[in-house]
Amino acid sequence: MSMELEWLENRNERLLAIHECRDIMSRYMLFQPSYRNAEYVALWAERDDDRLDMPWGGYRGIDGVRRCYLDDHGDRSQEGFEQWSQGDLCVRDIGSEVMIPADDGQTLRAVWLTTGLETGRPAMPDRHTGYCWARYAMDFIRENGAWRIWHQALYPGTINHAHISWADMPRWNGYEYMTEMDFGIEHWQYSREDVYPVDRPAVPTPYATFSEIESERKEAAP
Amino acid sequence: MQTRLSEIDKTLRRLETIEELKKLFKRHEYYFTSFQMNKCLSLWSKRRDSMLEVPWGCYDGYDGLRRYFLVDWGDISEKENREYYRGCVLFRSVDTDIVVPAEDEMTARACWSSQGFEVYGNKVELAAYRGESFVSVFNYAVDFIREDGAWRIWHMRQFNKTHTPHHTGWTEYDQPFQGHILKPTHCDRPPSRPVYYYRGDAVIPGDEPDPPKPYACFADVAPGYGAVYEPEGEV
Repeated sequence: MSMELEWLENRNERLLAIHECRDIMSRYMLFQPSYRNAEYVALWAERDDDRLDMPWGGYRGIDGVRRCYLDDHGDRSQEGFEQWSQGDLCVRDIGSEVMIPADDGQTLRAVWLTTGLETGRPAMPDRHTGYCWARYAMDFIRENGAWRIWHQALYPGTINHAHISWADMPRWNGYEYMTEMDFGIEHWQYSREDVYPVDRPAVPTPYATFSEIESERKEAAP
Repeated sequence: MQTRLSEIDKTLRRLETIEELKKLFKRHEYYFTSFQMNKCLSLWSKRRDSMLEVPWGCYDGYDGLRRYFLVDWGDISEKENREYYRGCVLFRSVDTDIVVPAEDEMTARACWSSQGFEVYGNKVELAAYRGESFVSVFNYAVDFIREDGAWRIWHMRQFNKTHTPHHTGWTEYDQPFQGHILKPTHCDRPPSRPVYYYRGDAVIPGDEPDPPKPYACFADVAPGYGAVYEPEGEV
């Protein structure tokens, strides 16, 4: 009976993990466009090995995450918000999810497709406005019984103006106002000459523990 | 062991509730976008403190909801409504869901994002919109209430992000939301706050919607939510 109960508890925990991590991701989609970034940062694990990879560079550790969202993006509680955020509009919805909790119940890997639109703040050197599609790869980790974001990578698809086909969009370098960082992922943009990279992002498959994933990564590294 | 089983049961019931509420809201969206307004109305609570807020105003109580669904829109099965719907198509995805049932399991709060397009025919009320198509982006904040064991929609607020003619970028279209496109409206009062629409000097609101947090019972989070409306007598 106790083994059956344990099995039941594990199944239950897996469903709960999927629900809670999806909830965190939906909150991100609402917090970030409305500049509630302090609340978004609070959804991250407070760890030195946090990893946030954006199209303009990578941020490392919880300090890096804070730098990305509170300095480079900003929060609506900050002085001057009403001025510097004027004319900014960002909408991000998520769907097409694949979420896989580890067998040990301590981590969860997921990918999402995001669709939306973006109009950058006027201070951006190459202010963009357009429909945007992208993909997210996320790892979540359980800390003191609560799920937190551990790794996040945003793989850009397209940002195309309402009047311009995404196939005709010129290369965009509008991220210059962001902090200069080491690139965590290749900054891909569409060109008729390119082949879309394989595994951007890699779709998670069932796994036992996160260390198993790390070992596979090391073996695959050139 | 009994405690462990009871914990599992509690979690499963909560997850089942969340799935049920997602289905309920999405069902509402499918009915709405196919203009099956009688079916939409059937998913709402008949309470006098039910409330629906859309960009052109608020509809209070079940009477207000009947006006919204059956008069200002109108069910597609009624002959007199069919001409209004000729040439009209609404497609609205709903996703990015956050659903939080109360600990007392009597209410739940939720929000969704929606992107889609709308096309309007030649019979619609607003002349500028006749035969036009739009890109529409909204957010929804929804409260649910359990009545006789069944979940019903109780309050819904629709927040505008952009509603822009198809060939126009939203940064080139600084027109406010012009109201209900289809017919004259019969709402009870204006929107409870200014309706956001894109302008070069507009600041994105921080609470449209405000993602719900875990809560014990509805009285703790929003006594009288949605309103200015004070129902008379018992609800």
